[in-house]
Amino acid sequence: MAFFKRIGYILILLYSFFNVYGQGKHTLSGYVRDAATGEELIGATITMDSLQTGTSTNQYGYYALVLPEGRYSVTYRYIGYSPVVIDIVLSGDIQKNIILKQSSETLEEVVVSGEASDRNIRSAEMGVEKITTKQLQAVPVIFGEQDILKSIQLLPGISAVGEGNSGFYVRGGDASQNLILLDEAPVYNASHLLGFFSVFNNDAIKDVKIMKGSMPAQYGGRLSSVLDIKMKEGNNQKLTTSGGIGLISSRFQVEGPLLKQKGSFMVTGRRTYADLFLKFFSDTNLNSNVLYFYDLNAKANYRFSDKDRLFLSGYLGRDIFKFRKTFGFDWGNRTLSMRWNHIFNSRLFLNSSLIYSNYDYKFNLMFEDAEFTMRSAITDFNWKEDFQYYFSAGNTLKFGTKLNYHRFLPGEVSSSGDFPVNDTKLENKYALESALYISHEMKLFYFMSANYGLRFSAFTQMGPGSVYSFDSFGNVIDTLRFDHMENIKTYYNLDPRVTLTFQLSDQSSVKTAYMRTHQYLHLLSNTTSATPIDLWVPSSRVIRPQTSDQVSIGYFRNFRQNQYEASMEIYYRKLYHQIDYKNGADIFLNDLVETQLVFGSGQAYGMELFFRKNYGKWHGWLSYTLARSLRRFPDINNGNPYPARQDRIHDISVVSIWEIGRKWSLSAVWVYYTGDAVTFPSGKYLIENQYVNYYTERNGSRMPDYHRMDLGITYHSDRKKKWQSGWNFSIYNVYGRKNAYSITFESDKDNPQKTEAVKLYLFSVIPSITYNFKF
Amino acid sequence: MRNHLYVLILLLLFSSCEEVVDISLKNVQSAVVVEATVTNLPGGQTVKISTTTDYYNPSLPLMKQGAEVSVLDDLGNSWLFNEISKGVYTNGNLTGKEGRKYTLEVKVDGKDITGESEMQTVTPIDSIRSEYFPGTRFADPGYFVIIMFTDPPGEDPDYYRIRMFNGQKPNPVIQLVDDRLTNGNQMEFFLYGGSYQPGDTAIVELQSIDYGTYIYFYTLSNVLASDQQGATSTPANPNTNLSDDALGYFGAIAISRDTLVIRDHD
Repeated sequence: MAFFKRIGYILILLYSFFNVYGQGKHTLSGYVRDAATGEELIGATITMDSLQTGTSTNQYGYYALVLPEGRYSVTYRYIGYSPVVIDIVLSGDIQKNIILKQSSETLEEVVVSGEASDRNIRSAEMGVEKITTKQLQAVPVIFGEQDILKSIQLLPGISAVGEGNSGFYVRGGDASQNLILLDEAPVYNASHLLGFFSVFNNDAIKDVKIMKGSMPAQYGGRLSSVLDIKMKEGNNQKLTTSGGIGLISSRFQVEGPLLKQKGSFMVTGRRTYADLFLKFFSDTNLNSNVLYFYDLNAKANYRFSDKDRLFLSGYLGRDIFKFRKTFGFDWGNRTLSMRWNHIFNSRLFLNSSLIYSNYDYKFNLMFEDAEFTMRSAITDFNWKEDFQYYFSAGNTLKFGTKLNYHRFLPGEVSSSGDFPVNDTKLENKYALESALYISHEMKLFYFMSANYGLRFSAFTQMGPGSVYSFDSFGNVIDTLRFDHMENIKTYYNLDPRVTLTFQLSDQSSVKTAYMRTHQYLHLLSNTTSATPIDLWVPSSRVIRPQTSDQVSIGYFRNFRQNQYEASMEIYYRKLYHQIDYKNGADIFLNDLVETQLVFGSGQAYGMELFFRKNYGKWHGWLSYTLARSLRRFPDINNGNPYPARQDRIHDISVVSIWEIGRKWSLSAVWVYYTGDAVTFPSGKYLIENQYVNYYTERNGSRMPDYHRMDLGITYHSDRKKKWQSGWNFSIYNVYGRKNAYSITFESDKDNPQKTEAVKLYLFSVIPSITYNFKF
Repeated sequence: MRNHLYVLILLLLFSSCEEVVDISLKNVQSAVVVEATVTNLPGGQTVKISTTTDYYNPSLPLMKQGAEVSVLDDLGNSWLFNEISKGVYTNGNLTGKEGRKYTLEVKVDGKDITGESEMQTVTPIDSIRSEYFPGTRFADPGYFVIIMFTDPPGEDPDYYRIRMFNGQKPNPVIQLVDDRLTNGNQMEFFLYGGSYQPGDTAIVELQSIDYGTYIYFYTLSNVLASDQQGATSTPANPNTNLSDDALGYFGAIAISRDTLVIRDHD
């Protein structure tokens, strides 16, 4: 505990330091909010016309600018909103909460007059993409379900795990190396129905940010990226109801003010009903099956004073699958975040969080006289303190601590009745992940800004538990017992993060970034697609923390008053202590799962081109990624490097949206990527008169290239009416490309001597329709 | 289990489709394949030697003639095997004994292939019986066989393969059992992979095998069952207990056998 005492001293020291620093200057601070809903706006920009400087609101909509005494004309801007200009005389600290109105004009007019969309050029962040849910509404989607995880796959450097899959790869890393946060709570399995849908109901989401190039020091725990998703606060002006009815699911949302507009709430639900159609089948094998999922998001906040605000948000989602009356399988996430924003003084902002997150799955076998159940889970308890201190305009310090307690339930089997299985429980595992970070964003000279930081993290696997040592064949040779809270193994790491921005002109800049990241939790999964039976394991005496080093450099250029933006980024990554499986590895209910693993390294490099038209009657973007991702494991492929599965050499996305009047929009998406690196046979032989494929090279072949086009039409009724409604029609895979989901090498059914390659494809053309309403 | 579930959910959800496609594959130098067993039953010792062929080659793999094949035990006895047909070798004097460790030696094409396997204790079959199954869209109606046996208590893990024959015809399904969750229990297993009609003779073998043989068949069944590239794990050659880059296995197998003539229950 002495460790935490010391942290306390440091914080107090820092705090007193900030109180004396910067006398003679004053602070302009406050919140920026939406006029209609009262929602805080994240990333709204605040600029002074007289100074070449400004700031933007943080993730709680708060901003602070420290300026010398004087008169200022201050402009507040946000995408899609009319800007507000105020004149102030700064002779003391001023608090100014600003309300921005959503523009009733078309996107074109708004942006020309309003948006300071040169953030991509100026900001000291690199490889960061921000999406608002509004921007996505026009993009066509499969089954008419808007899905944030599928939309980000259209950005450079981020690629889809597979057909219709919500999993994603970032810069050559695997899908488990992305940290997915929902209101700061980690989400361990972000997909429903084997990855075809993500757990994020678009209606509940306010803001999405993905960081792939420069992860600020406040984030850690995953190697490749952070996907930071913020839920809506709820309308604090009036009670609003909205929803949607689609082919595969329906959604409903209620939001409104709480306690005289001092707070607000939001509740959103979604349920799929694909299984209801199964009832129409007369086949009893089909119509007695159950298959659905639901999501429930709820959030409330309350403002105690101008300086204190409390947020409570939660998510509950579950997939439920029942096969006849004999087999049940369900899985899902639960998260709960409680956060308290406190403003010490206008310069020092604190967010304290208590976070709970859980993922579990359960199998059930039911017979007339017996039952069998298997369960596995991971649970997190998280405490965080995040400070922001505003020195002066463009000069901000962020620092904080994090303590995360992980509890792993790797597997538990119980049976009742006449089932011949002994009750078995794999030992729970426990770990403590803690971190201290500091990062500083500053303008160095008029043409240069820097964001640098340091993250110190510690990870301890602790008792109670047994630790096995084993020989090279995986046989246990010794067992050590550890008591409650006893240290089994601790790792310490220091992650430096730096981003430098060199402004070449008003319209162009060069940025470079370096980041080191560590990952202490590892996902073991036999399959590449998201499956419910994912198993997370902590770093231990055998499994070392995964490590990644990444350098990147990019050129950013805007044209025509930021109407067009273009960028090119190049990156190189080294990956250490990567994990793969021994051949025939059994990770299911295995106490000695660590004996099934092999360790190696990897490298990934690539170039990302991005061109976007930000506004206009026609807008959209083009992204192209040229990349490689290789792995080298002493125990795989005779120790020779081989392409990782996610080694997508070419990856292209084109998104195009046309606004036709104020009610209609037309959209089109085209994607193309090189087929995954896979292992195909190089021959065959006979065992017990069955053909067995002969493999000689890991991932030495390629799946066929993937491409498809989607089209969408959106109609929205008059936005000024009380009852608003709209239709969305979309066609997935317009030209019916039969993209391979898998390729099987098997004997012909009639002539076993003839072996052939058989392609399985899931989707041909899929039209869908969704009706949305709001009142 | 995992893959079956996966496919099942996919089937329920989407009307996925299959078609034969033309995928070009690399051709590589052929490798030697050895399928060798020593059992506790007389005449059950055979070693088959063949080679791999190109994937799209429609002719049967080449059998390897003229190999030098012998089996040794840990008491210093050795048996030389004779070629009885193309690539098939045997020795009528050898019958496997419980608890003996056997070594296979094969000399072919300049390769020196060896493998070791230990004969386990025979586990008796308690009973076999048949049950009528009305069939589903995935399986035809017919009689299915159920085996019952008792796993011996004791710390050491036990591994089994259950084989089933319809008369002389072997069932291709590889059914494996380990006692990790069921140590010392009496167990019942439904034998999948085909139904019987009244009058058929079902022969069931409970094969006690060592870990090396078990893991070979376990990894072999993974390769056979989940060759779907794209959706599932990376395939690899089964884990062999043979040396010198040979494919296949050498297993000392302790067999107990039972026979059942299927009768109409009604």
